[in-house]
Amino acid sequence: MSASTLLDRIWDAHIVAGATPVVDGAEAGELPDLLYVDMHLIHESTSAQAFAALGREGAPPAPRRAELVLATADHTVATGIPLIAGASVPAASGGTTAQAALLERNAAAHGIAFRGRGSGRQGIVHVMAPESGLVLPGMTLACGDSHTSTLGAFGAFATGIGTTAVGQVLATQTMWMVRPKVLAAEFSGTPPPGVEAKDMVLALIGRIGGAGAQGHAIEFRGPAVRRLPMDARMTLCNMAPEAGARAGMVAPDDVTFAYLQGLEFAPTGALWDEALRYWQSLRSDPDAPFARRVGIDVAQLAPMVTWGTTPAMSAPIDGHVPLAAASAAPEETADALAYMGLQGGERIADLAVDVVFIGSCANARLSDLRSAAAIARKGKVAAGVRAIVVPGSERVAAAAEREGLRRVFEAAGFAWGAPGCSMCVAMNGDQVAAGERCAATSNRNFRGRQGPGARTHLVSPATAAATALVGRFADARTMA
Amino acid sequence: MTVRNPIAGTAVLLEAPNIDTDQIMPKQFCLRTDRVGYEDAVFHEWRKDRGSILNDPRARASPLLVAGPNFGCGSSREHAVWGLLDFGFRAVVAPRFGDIFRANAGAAGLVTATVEDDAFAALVALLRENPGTRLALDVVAQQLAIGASAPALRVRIPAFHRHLYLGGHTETGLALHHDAGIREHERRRPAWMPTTLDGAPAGAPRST
Ligand code: SF4
Repeated sequence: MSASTLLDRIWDAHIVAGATPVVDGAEAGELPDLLYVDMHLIHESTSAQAFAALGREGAPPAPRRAELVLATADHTVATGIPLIAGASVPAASGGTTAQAALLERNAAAHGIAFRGRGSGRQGIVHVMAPESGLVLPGMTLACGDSHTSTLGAFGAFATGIGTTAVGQVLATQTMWMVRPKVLAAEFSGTPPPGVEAKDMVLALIGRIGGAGAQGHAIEFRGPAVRRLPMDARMTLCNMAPEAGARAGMVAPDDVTFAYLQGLEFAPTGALWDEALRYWQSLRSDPDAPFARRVGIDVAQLAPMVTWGTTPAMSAPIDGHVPLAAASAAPEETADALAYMGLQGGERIADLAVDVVFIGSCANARLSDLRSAAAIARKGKVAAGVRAIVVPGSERVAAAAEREGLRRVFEAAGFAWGAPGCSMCVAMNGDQVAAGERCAATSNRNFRGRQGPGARTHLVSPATAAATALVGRFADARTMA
Repeated sequence: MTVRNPIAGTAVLLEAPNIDTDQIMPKQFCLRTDRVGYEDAVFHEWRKDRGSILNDPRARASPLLVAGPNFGCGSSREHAVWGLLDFGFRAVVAPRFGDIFRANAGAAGLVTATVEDDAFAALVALLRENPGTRLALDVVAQQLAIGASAPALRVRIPAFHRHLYLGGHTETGLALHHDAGIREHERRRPAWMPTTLDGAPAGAPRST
């Protein structure tokens, strides 16, 4: 048997059919396979048109396997945080948004499990799904959302799809997909204190570029990944699309199994034993055919801050904003700097922020909040800074409240919001005003992402908290 | 959907690299639940600039968009594809595309064609010089003809997308042909695979 990657093992076990069309001039590896989807996750902003497609153009009127679908509302739900003037707010009635209410009706009509606000299990789809044990090694998962890659941290193949494909998964429980190549990202060394998974993955994206992993899945490997808890592995995989990757993956190990054991939907008894035996076989062979390898020594890393309008535009906290003329792409850099209100050459640590956002599927799990709170308890949010914390799910929120983290944040002057995507995508009214500078733990710093004219700098939770206290980008390593 | 080949006419040039789907379709329009009517939403912020090429009356009549590398990176929102189609584009030509955007485009009937970097640079120079140049994208031959005389450029369009576009197929329709294979796969699924049914043993089959 030829050597395989982790991705190959999962892929091969899910092929329903090879590509059927006979097309002139198709190249090897160009045609998609029809893959079975073990769990289909749904949120309100990319699903309405997919439900509407059921019963049309030959599609069946009902989902094929409603019990393999899980729905929640996250993109549009209110956090209860005071909105800035002029924020655009989604249409709402009866305490929910129109889109979330429509999803709830669609789910009820088709017998799909819906985890709404107040259920105790609602949250950002990529945060709430794994908490219940519905994300297991060896599974395929799809969701109408690019950051579905997050779930590959369990040793699963998890990928974002568009709304037409969401309709296909509802109708057939399958998706057409071209097998990605695999980029092995090998992390070695021990990270200095204050350097987190977010910094590791921003460093990788900075190294290979925003399209550096196009057509690939990234397998995060090496001793520095093995040492990370599941929350941090999810942060790595979450950011894989920011390097252009279709998926992120980490081979499952004892950390994974310990996380899963005892969760609501995880197997038990003999089924657990059977599953565990299989899961232990899920890894890339030593001589696996990786299309590309990139090595990063985490001992050399510092906390990272993005300065531009793609996640690949980043610098260490003790570094400088680049000069456009000195960069590899002067025009693009100049455009990004102009949007960000920067000249080039500034010290990162001199940039003052107006807003700090701790949240999103990149960094709003319990260990992220712990890391931020450990800094927040050392001071008060700087005058003039609006700092908010939005936990990733109702379970995270409840656990953080039990541990007293909410009290720590509120005592320091952070606002605490109800779970959802919030200021990551600014669809629910939580947004950054035009021209304001925001340190955000989310995953995208695109123009206008956090509101028209908003200037987003991506950072880790520790850096975000330190920055909130200082009012300028601050080095969490000096505050630990 | 009527199949149009070649896709011929003028082109809009947006040469910036890394045009993400947040730019193509700002999030507020993703609050809609319809599938049509996104022509005013596409590039909404960019079109606030009166000088934008997208506000030129010729833009709405152009079936082709020529865009910089990594077009459609970022969010998986298919609304970006719907907006480009509703605006009037039938195909996008770029050196590289975001993976999910490209898959979405193929599924929704928007052709995406890649060109080599140097051919792209030549195309950009030509369209800067003469924005009214007529192009013709032949989906079967995978060629982009420029004006009347210049030699056609070689482009790549994913084979599966050519099959969908030229045959008028939908991905769901093609998948439905494999019903027997899907059933067969379902019979083989391991029992530990979870379902969302509360209290049900993991992997319990449901009668259909
Ligand atoms: S938190 Fe942000 S990136 Fe994550 S699913 Fe929500 S909108 Fe997308």
